[in-house]
Amino acid sequence: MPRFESALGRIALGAIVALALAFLFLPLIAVFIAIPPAKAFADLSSPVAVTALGLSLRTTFEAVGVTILFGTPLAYWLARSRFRGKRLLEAAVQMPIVVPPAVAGVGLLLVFGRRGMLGPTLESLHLGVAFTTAAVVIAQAFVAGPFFVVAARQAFDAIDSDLVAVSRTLGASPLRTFIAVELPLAAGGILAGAALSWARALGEFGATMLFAGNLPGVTQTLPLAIYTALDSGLDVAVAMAALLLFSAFALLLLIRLLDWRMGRDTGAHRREETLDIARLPISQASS
Amino acid sequence: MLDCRFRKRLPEFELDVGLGIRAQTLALVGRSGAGKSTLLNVIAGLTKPDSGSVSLAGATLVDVESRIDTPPENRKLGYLFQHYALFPHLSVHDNIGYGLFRVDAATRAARVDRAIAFLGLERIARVRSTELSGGERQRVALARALVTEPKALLLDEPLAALDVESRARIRLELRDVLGRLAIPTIVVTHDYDDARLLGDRIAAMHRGRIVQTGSADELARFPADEFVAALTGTNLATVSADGVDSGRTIAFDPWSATLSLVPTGARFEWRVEIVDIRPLGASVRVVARGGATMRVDVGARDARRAGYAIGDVVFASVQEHAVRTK
Repeated sequence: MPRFESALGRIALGAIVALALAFLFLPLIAVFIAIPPAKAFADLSSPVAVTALGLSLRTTFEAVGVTILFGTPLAYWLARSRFRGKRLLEAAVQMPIVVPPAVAGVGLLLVFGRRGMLGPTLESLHLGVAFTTAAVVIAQAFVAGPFFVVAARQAFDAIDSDLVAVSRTLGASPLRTFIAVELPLAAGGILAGAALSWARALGEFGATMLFAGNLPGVTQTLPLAIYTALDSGLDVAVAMAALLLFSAFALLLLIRLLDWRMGRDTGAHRREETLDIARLPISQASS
Repeated sequence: MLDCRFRKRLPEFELDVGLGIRAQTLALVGRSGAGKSTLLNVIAGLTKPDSGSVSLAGATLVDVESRIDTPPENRKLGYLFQHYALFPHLSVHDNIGYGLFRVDAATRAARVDRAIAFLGLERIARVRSTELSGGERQRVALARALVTEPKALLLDEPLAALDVESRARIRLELRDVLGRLAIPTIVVTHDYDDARLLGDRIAAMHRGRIVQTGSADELARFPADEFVAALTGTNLATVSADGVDSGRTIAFDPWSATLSLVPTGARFEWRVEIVDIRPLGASVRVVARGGATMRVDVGARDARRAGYAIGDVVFASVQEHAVRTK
């Protein structure tokens, strides 16, 4: 870093830093101070907000549940297997993190939509998903899943391979070793990944809008309700935005806490290999 | 009886082992990268050999030709890792009991308590395994391996992770524990003193091959090659002088050899260059090279008077009666 010896240089740097910080924080603070808390609570109890909140909770829980169920074995496999082209596959797994949500929505439509690749087959089995609550869950799982897989994979990677080997020599099968050693040791990272992907699912907007639509009570989650509420008046939208922001902040705190606990638990040597949350694309956790 | 006869290709050389170990401790000594840990991993089933077999107490653990490969969990071996590999999420007590998931809770508790008593761990049994000192970690790992009543024990550099102050004491404690066991045991180490103190027998390993096996005295009496000679601190030299012994290899101790600044005309004499001077109390050990590596103990006062320094060219000689031949 260059040293700013002159007073002018110091003032210029200070001004730029202050501007940047103000730019980052002001919009977030504005959401909280725009309306008094009592009014915000009243606005949140409006039927639109309550319905959207309930739908958001239900769909994100399901999306994160599906992600953990399928993402944990995938993350474990990525951490343990070695094959040609693995790096390429890993990059592909992380693609949904950088893909614009609108593109994700189009892609999901092309696969699961009524005229998509799997659409007609699903329809004939009465499993059509387009513009249903299930579509919301699919959109959320698609955009949020990679966050979980990356975090869980790092957590499995950080486990000292001697611990796995010693478990085997002590008579434990690979499955028993996974349950008794690898899963408990990776639990911190797995939970952090789950929290991270939950934050991303909760904020999901673009893909849901395109793929699931904006039907109150069916596919209208909190972010979509905010968008709709903006038409009729700012207050309800702001109240819901404040709620989302609060939950995002709480999740961030939880992730930090889990990260700190993991660093403590993984033991004396190889500490540097614990989950590094700073390496995760956390900045994109809300769209 | 633990019987290993196998080959395994490593990046730099081939591991080629033929070893039979009765209910005693074999200290496997060699430089790091000699293939010692790979040998343990093959026995434990963590690595596959390219050919050959390993058997323990009559049961075949691996036999490449007959396609037998028992998974590690069914080999009934205790393996002590260099960094002890204690489970950080379990207490000392639960670490020790980890391998006893097949027995009922009462039996497990009794056996864990017996292992705790065997290794004197009563004081720390309820502590988290991450809060232990190096010596404590080693004993917990040993208790965890022994509680499953293994048919053989493998120890990979059991003292390397310890600090210098506690090393000597823990080495003696480990020697005591190993002496109380009656199963084939392999201790891998890069330190000859560890091997000498812990092993009933010593096997010296160099680039994937066991170059010599025997007691510490046997190895020191006549080392198989310069590598073992360097380990034991014995001189091994080829006679270059003319006469009946020309071309023969002789062994002699550093304290039997003498050093002089000019040739003495002795029958066994070598022109060498000093590469190291190591103080040993009343004497210094001069290490010098010239064909073979010579170790010559010189009285500290004599060495100072002669003014030996690294890089000096001197003459090392030995009396005929102090020379050993094969």
